[in-house]
Amino acid sequence: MPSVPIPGEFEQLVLLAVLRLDRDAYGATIRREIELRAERELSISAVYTTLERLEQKGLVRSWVGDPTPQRGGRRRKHFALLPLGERALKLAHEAYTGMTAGLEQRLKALR
Amino acid sequence: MTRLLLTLIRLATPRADREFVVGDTVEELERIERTEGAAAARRWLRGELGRVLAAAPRHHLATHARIRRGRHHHRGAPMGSDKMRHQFDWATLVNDLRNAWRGLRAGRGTTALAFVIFTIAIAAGTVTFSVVDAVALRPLPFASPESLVSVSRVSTGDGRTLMPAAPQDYLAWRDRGVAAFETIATSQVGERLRLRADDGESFPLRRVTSNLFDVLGVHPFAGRFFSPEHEQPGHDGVVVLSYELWMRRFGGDPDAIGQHVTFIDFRNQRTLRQIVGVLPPGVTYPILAGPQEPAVYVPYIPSTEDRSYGSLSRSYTSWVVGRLRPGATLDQARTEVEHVSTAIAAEFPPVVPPPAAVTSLHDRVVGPAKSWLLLVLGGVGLVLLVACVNVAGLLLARATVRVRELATREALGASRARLARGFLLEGLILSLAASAAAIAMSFWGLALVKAHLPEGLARTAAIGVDARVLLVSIGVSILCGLTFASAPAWLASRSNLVALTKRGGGVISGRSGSRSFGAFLVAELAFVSLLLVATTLVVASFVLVTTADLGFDRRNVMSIYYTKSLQTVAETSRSAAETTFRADLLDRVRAVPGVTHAALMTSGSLPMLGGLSRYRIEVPGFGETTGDDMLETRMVTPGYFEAMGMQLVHGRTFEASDRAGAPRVALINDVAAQRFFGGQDPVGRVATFQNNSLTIVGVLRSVRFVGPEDDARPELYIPLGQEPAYSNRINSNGNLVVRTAGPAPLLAPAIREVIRTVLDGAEPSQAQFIDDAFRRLTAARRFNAGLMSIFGFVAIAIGAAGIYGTMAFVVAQQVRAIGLRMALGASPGRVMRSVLRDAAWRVVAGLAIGLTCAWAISSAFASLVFGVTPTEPGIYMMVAGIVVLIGLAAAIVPALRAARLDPLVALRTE
Repeated sequence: MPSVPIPGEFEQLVLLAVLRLDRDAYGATIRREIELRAERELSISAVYTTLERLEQKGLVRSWVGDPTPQRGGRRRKHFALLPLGERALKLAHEAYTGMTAGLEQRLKALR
Repeated sequence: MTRLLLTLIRLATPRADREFVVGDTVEELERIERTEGAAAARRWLRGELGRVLAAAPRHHLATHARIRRGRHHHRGAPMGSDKMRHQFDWATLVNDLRNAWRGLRAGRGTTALAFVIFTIAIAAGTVTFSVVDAVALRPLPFASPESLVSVSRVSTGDGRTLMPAAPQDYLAWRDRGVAAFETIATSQVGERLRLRADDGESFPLRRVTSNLFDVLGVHPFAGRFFSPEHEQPGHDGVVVLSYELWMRRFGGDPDAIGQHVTFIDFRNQRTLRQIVGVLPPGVTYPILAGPQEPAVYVPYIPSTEDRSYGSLSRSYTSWVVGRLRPGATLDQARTEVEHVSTAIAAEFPPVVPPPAAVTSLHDRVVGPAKSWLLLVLGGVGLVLLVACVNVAGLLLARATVRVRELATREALGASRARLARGFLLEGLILSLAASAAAIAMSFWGLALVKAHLPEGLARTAAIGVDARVLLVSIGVSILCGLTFASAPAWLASRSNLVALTKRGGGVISGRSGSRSFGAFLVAELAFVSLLLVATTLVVASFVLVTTADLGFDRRNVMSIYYTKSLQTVAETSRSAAETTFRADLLDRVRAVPGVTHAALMTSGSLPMLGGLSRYRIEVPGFGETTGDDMLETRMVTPGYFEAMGMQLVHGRTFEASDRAGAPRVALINDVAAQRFFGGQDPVGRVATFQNNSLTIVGVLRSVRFVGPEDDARPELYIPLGQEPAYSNRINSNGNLVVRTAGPAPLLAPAIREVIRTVLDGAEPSQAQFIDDAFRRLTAARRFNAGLMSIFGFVAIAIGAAGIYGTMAFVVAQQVRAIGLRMALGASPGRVMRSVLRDAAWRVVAGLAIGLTCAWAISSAFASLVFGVTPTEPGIYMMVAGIVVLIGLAAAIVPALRAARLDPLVALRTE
């Protein structure tokens, strides 16, 4: 069992988006998810760069779907979490909730 | 628009992800179009392109890592993989470098040729840039030098040269207020000082206002500068040293500051001054032409004379500098300065100062040299371009020969990008090697150039190969290396290499294949023709200046100034004594073997030697001459015109009978005749000169006094002996003018010896030679013409090599096609004509482009040419002739080779 790599902040956002989107996780949806929920402007290239890195670290896997008519016949690249990715996400979340426990009111009050 | 943006996004994305990225982008674009409208979607897409471009490098790196590891390497990538990736990269790089080196060695001939061409071009560029940069481009060593302004006077001599202002001017501008200036200061160039009576070294004294260094924004290197109380009489016994002087004479000792030091002036008067501070290294004001001498600075206290604005005694020695107020312009300063000058002239009627000139301090320092320095820099830039295009063609030619090697490497798994990178590395190695050789060469080149730099350039001491020059030189080489290597790299990345090998070894077959070579050749010839036009203009101007009709013969003439004391002679017989002395002097000099003519001249000096003496005359019916109409006046003995080689147009010259007591006569030149007498014959007419009526007895051809490029002016000659009498003269002085049969400098010592005996041992001046002065006046043009000729020849040589190389290559590539044509009945003559035709249209196309460009930018040359217009058709025809001739000469060998092909042998070659 390789040690679990700690995902970076943006990697966490991408992993969370893949988790939420489940079977519908591909470039455009992942990007939209992060834009809507994390309210940040990002490029499609940044999403693919991160997914590439996550795939190389063994946190996600990808497969190419069938051509779809609404994208001019272009295929989609789908992503899903691997067990190592699920563990990494869980560890990161636990670390975060652990650190923020009891601070919710004060964090909200911050400017 | 949308399609273009999508294409750009596609191109910026690594190949492996292109389909998905573009698909996702289209999907998002369509969604935004539905929800927010087409305009918002377009706006978003534009922003997205920017974001994709920004993220592209990281995206490429990330996918690159995966491709190298194998596609489905999901799990368990080792931590610390970053390190491994780097090692891997190094290995690839070393491998690529080795391949590149092998490639360069394989084509040894081409590599050597490219290396030589490029080294010469870069060395020429480095040398030229270091000169132009040090003299013209580098900012002055002052704070915010762009807002520093120099206020000068225009010399009345030629109406063009700038000279310093007078102290009265400075005080008027300071006191009457020029609102555009925040502050204004001045430095007077004073006499030379020594530290010890027997000291071999002397240094210039500058009298400066206490605010000068403030205005320039200079801070003391040690100690402090002057304060306003130092400008009070009695408190000015202080001195600021230049850094160089402090180092040399005081060993850079900080304790020297505060010490009292004695300075000795040229009258051997001693002044005790306290050293208060030291300037930073390299700082001096004013920045004068020639070698930069370390100076000493003392406070300037205006004399009573200086303080009276209306004084007629003005010495133009005040280098005035102002700092512009924020927002103020040069034009504003110009208007206000002129306004003050006009007001002063109106208040004090006899004062008519020459016009004021307000320029940026940088322009004042660099002066008129700037335009030709930039021309020379442009010239060397063109040489570099020619070399670049040429080397690109050479490398491309070699790459096409290597197409089989490339195809093999590709078949063995090398990516197109890797092959292209190999060529870029070859280019880089070649350019860096050439750059190193060029820098070594440029030290020698600089020594050569510095020995021939014309006078009148400031800041020449700073010329050298320094960090800035190195940076530019190496940077330009790398840029050129990548540029010329991109041609074969492009070929490697675009062509279907395997298909090319099947065609039988070469890329070039038929018209379409040779088109890219044609483009290189056309570009090269365009640059060559453009450079040749500039070179021809500069060289033609130089030739025209040096062969210009000066109105006299400048060779083998010298003048020596003498002063004969008449103090021991009774006042009443001084005139007679002078006449005897003069006759005696001339007789003795004429007796020296080798002397062909000798004469005496008082007032002014010989042409080209800089001394002007202008007088008014009155001509009945014309009135009194003023300003521009004043006559250049010389008082001469009869032999003067023969000694100078001047020509008489009409009438007679002076005779021995034109002596004191005889009717007063004068000669004028054709310009004066035209101006004062219209078309009428001036001979026999009368003019009034200093209250004497003179009868004009002859008209001379005019002489260019100031220099070969200046217009002739009206002249007046009066016989020596009939010159106006000055009372209380205790000296008789003048110039001895001598024409010799051989080179004048050889006879100068003998003639000075003769004068010495006549002067009872007193020392005459050193001889001045008009030819020397003429060479100094034309030095900038000579330097220019020399440099541009070198550039022109180098460009022609490289261009000829380019034509030869390209045509030889094209012929070699088409051997089979040519063999086939000959087998089918084409005559050798026809084959030769077709090769020559091929070369000819490229030469003509290059010429047309080059000459059109030259024509379009020719107006920039206007201030640099003399005697020709920059659009002179003859120049362009000459350049066209040269380029066509060289083009055909270079193409004839490959053409002959093609014509001599044996069809049987040719068809068998692969």
